[in-house]
Amino acid sequence: MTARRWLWRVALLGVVTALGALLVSGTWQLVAGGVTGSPPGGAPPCPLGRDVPIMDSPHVSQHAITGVQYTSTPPTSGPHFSFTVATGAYSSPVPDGLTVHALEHGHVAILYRPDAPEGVRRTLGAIARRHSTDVVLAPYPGLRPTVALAAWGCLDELDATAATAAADTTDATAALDAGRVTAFVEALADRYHHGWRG
Amino acid sequence: MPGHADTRHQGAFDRFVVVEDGADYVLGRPDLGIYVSVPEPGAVFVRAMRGGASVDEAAALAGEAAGQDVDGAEFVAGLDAAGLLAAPVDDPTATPAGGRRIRWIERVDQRTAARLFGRVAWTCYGAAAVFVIGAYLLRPELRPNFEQVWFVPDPVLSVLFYLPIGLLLAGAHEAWHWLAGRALGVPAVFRLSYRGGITLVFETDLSQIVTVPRARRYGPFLAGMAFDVSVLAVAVGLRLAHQTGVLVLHPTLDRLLAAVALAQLLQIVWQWCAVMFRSDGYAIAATALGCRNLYRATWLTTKDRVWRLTADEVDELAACGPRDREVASWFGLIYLSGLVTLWWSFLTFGLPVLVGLIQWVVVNLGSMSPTSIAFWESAAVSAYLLFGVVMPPVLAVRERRLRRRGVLL
Repeated sequence: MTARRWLWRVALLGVVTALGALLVSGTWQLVAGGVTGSPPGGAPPCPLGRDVPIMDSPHVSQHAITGVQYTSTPPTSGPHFSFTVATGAYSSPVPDGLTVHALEHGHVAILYRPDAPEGVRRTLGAIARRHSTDVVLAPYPGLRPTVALAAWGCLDELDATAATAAADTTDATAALDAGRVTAFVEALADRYHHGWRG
Repeated sequence: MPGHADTRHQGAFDRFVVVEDGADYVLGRPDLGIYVSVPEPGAVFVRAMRGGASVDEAAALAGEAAGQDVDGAEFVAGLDAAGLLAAPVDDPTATPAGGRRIRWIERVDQRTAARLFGRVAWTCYGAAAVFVIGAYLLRPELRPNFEQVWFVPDPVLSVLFYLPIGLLLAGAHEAWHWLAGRALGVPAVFRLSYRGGITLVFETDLSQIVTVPRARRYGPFLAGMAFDVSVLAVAVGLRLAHQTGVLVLHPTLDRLLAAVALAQLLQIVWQWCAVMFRSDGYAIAATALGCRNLYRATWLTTKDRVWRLTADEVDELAACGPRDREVASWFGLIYLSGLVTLWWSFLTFGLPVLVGLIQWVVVNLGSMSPTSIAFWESAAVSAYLLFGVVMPPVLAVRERRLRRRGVLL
């Protein structure tokens, strides 16, 4: 009876140990990435767009992030908030601290000038809907090109072909190289993530 | 003496219900919410008493059913000890449990409630489940992930905005149980109570469902999940229509629907997997397996295997009945598999959110910058966690210590 009891105890201990081991292994990697953020470097060369040096990327407070100097505009790595943002379209700007965390989870940020033409925004909205689990789409005040595509350590910039120069935000016919945007999203989504990606 | 017992308890016997339940019978007092399981002679005895027989006459009838003499006075004493012969209570749904009853829902009549649980309704619930499974299999982009919790770009606001929605959905889940009970004519209580002083919880007391045959109990047990899967199907369907361009939703609504879908899916996973916490899935399994006290039988069987039982626990396990003990011999594995699935879902969906939120609170409080909104949000979250999560177990431990020392009765 006692030997049988010990067998049960060992089996139970084995299950508990296996469940505990999940905390530091596999997809979850609680210790490795979920808590600490990402170290500098570590991402392969960008298949599209240009490489941007990867900064040390710890989790910081809202107060601390105001003093951060990122290596690009918009940023593609660097200090960020400890929580991330759901993918999808946003009508207001999303803080850099959130966008960077989304990139760290393997998502792609499509950021556009707030005065981007209506046609451009509509095209981007359709792309964001089709790639709803990969893309964060939001306006980005102070952006020089019409659209910036950001992934972890990668950046691409696009201008609309027609209406940007005239700054006609109501122009529904203004065109954007949608194929280039889609190619960037498909090539860069899920290329990097620091673990714990749901 | 027997005649005296007849007069004193006749009012109580008038309130008894007797329901066949497999090889045994359930005897109970719906007005008290007390039920026991007895063999057939016990049911014969109570039916006779209810019909106006004396204790001796009822014992004679029970003896015929048993094939041996039955001590009527002893059986009456046993019923009395179980609390079944207490004075009648006028309100059949009154219970000693805390919380505030929600009486407006009790105005829903049985026929109206039955429409929600007829053949057509259950077909719709089933179709909703099939649709959700199909959508998740065929459209991976619709599957849930923990990031969907942050549907607005502020973690505290995301939680605050979702709280009333989550409370409403949890209330509707419980109300669906209640309505399914109503559809069967089972008197039940729907109430709102507080846990830990600040957490609102809806509860449905369906204990009187033991007065209906087992085959009819599944509806009330499945009703909560039927509601959940319906909401899930609507959320997934709307998101699918949005992604395919059939419908254009406001982006915030799309993200909110993703959060709702995640919460409803986790609710369904909980109900099927948290059998060790007596979830809806436990009630369904125990009913299907013909058990009456599977929960305790499984705990005690498992404890006996891994550790040892006290003398009281040995008696309790022996009193559980052969069917409960037989099922309990393997039901511990169901507990374990449910626990593993719950752990997986916690790691996948719960822990990342929890760690992100706690880190956010810690770094913002540590920044000591009272001019930032995040600092005050973090202070509010800390206060909530302190009073809502930390204090109840601390107070429980303190109360236990005081009881042991005899300071608290």
